[in-house]
Amino acid sequence: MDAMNELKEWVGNNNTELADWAAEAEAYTNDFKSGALSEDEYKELMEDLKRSEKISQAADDLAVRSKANEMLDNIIIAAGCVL
Amino acid sequence: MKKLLVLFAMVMSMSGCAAIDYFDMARFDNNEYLLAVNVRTQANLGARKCGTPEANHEVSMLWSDALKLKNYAESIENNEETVTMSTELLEIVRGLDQRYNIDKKEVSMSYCTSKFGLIEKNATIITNVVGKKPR
Repeated sequence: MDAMNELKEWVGNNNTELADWAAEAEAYTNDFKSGALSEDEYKELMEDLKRSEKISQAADDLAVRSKANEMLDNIIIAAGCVL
Repeated sequence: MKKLLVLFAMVMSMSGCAAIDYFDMARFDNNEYLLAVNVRTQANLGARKCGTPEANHEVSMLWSDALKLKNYAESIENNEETVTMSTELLEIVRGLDQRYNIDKKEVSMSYCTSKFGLIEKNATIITNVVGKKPR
């Protein structure tokens, strides 16, 4: 598989986008309105969503960096180079 | 998705030291991966104890696992993304531990299940990307 095809296949399989934080926020708001969550519990959970966003961003960064490294390793192996 | 492509394009267009720094990253580490899996598993198990007296113990176990992951990730060089993820995850777990084991507040069932669910979801994301670090 050449590098561009490999990249295209990978781009279509991004794990972190499975995390739908907007849906979580809506669920917490509904729980708060119904009285299932107290105000401070609700605020904490909403703050947690901001932290979750940071985790998703760092995960995306790591995924790109890992893929770039893997592709570079493959190129080096294919070229028969020894560093 | 677009930002990933932009980021990837940026990396590919780098030259010299910037590119060398970018490619100098922590490789896959069995211990780090196991610690991330432990957090995910403990969050899953803990959710089952919401509303029972055993919840406090489960929260303590989760706090311990999340702290181990952060401390271990910090000990590895060029591991910035994993340190960020594990630090943020620990902060999420901190709220749970604070209520159950420090303040000993009354905790609603909805808070307990939401919190464990959120932690498990984040731990799954971390496990997936840590497991795909280059060998």
